[in-house]
Amino acid sequence: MMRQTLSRLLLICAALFLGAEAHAQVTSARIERAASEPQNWLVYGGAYTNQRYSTLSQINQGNVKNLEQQWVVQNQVPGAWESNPLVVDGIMYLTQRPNDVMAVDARTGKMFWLYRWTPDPAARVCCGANNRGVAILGDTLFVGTLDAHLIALDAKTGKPLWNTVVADVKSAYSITMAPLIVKDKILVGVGGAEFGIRGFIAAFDPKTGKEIWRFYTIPGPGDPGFESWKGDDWKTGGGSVWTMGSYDPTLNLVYFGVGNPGPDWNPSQRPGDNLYSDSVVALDPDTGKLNWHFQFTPNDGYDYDSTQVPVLADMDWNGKPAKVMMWANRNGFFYVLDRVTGKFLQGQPFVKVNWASGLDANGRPIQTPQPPGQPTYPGNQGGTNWYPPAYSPRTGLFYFSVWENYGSVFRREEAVYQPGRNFAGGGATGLAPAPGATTVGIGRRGPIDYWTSEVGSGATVAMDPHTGKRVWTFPQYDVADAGMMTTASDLLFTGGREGYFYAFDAKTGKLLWKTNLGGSIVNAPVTYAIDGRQYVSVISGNILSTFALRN
Amino acid sequence: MVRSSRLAGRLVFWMGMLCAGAPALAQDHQYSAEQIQAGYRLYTGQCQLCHGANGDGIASVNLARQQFHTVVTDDDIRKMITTGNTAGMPPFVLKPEELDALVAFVRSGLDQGGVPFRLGDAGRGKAIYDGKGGCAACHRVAGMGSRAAPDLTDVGFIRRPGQMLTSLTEPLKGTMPINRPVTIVTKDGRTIHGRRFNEDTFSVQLIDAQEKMLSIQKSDIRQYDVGMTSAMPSYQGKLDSDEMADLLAYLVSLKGQ
Repeated sequence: MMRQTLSRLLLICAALFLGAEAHAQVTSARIERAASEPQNWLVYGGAYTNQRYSTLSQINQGNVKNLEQQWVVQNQVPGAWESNPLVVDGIMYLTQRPNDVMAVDARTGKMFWLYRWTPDPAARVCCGANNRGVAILGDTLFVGTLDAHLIALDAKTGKPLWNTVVADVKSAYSITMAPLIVKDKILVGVGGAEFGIRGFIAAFDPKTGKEIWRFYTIPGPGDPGFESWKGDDWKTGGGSVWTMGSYDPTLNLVYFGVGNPGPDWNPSQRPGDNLYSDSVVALDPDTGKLNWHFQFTPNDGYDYDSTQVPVLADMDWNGKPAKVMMWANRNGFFYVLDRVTGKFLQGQPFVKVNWASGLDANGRPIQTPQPPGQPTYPGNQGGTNWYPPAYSPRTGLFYFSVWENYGSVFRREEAVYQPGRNFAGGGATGLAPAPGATTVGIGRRGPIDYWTSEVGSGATVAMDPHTGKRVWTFPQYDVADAGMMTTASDLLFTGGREGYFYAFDAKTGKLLWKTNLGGSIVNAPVTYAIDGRQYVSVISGNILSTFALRN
Repeated sequence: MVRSSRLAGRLVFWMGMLCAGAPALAQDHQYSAEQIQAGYRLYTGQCQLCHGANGDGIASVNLARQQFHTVVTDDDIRKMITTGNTAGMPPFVLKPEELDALVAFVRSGLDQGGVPFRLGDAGRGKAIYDGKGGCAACHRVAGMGSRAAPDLTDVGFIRRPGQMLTSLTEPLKGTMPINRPVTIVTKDGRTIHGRRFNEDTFSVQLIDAQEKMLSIQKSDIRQYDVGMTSAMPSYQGKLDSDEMADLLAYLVSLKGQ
């Protein structure tokens, strides 16, 4: 009785507190301070730093074994579910293939509304009809579509407010990333570098959908970096932007990773460094002007998109406080950059690498192309890829999923550009132990692992950014494309293709809890709280599953 | 989808069997490495746009798995390419040797490696499977035979002819990684010899020598060896080239029940 009365009282208090907050708009100031309201998950990476670090600590190392599934949402659409949920004052907003948006009660999983957008049948994407989530500002949600529209929805009704055509679907432009809100602008990039697009990031007015500025990731005549292209190659130069960027309000800079050049696999068809493909670009969010860039893979022949999520942190570097950016790249190297200037601080390979023998003093790779028919490491899907990493300021460690001992044989061909058609310039075949044996690629092929760890395996890795060395590794039998989330109770939540959802001791890598959800975990978990109760949500296969401690 | 594709496969199989008896088709079908590779180049340029890199770009057609709407014989493939159809396949103007190359590439199961092979008579091949080859001592087809080695009921559907030929001549090279023999010693002292169905970070699912299905937690295992050998004997030299072509034709005809 006593307990009941007490909990009822607590509930009332919580309701009062929440009630006041539920009406608060998601202002840009609130997004800037997202880390200070850990009951919500207001932006893709939990905060503009993309650390995916939450100060919630109700679930801790002692009680994590008592996690219990509270509810699930089932996705009725086949294919990888790469959406990253947002949680705002008890409401979860997420997307499903191809471009549906839904609002869900984050306490029960019950749906308020479902918005459906059918992309133009001409839409082309290389690697799945993916969408990675929405952004919110005020009472408005923003979603990019496979046919390269940007749509604003009323967050309370799911009805569209405006619909802007960002780029031409007939030339295979698409949007799969979640938009990034910076102050009074919506920033979004386009995909399509396998189809000969010229990539860009653009900013839009949240009220009208009008474009405010555009930064081409492939420079044109007169732009800095144009000298890294020959002839007309830049016109089909690729440079997709398909993952979330980061923002540093103190420097007023946004950072985006840029994808592969076009044609994808034939570097001899586009001599030069091919800026700003496979680079990180630092832009002024007010104007779209380039402040600095750093290129990870010049003249890439391996599809080493640098579309990883930039992770920002302030830390001591060689005895001085530094503003850094950490980056585990698809090309197999882990980098630390000074995010004020773009200066290379250090870089080390984190998996087997043979396309480069190392990095020079400026972080430029010393390329060692393998003879035709010989395997290149890491293979086409990279040592890691787009799935978001995490960083804990408590442990000082950077967490990410890797593919170990995974190589591909690359094939180069002359590509001919036709608008909207494949412009890949060859292909890549995963190394297989027997002719015709199944290998690994984008997405898991089914519930049975025929390919075995002989074609590569996965791991969850904790990296010390100061040394570029692994502090701990949790090996997985199948490769892993799971994102990360870590908390102030030193828990690390992640998964893998096999369908296990894990909680680790973030310091030591000790496995504290696991459950088999039965489907690949291909994005990162999120955490939030309602009425003082902490929840953890993760997508596995075709379900979004939400956990909390047993009552 | 699976059902209908299996059905279609069966239909193709039986029609193929019927046609195989016809005098016009009695001769062997020989597909050279040069033809297959030339076919691959043509395919990449002319066919891939619609049929896809894996041959499954058109609904209910799977070129790699010999799953077609109307095509049965090699000549049917040639005719389809040169005349097209009303469903949207355009006609192509190609030289006879180019048509031969495309036929070879399709019949190879879109084998980019271009392993040459010859298909003989499936009926004679079945006799070799049951008799001289002794295949049923380890393998199983449609419920008949041992479960020690992989069940071949649908092997013609899931494997390319070139892969099956490699398995027959160089079993070690042709063994799919999941089929390697495993030996497990459990912490409670049991020794298990078997063949895996599936494996992940924490467990392995297998069938043991007594044909028992086991799901074992790795935490219960003391020693785990995946054999890099093959229990399958090589048929190189044991079967002559005609017998090999016949046996391969039989295996190719196994499309599932």
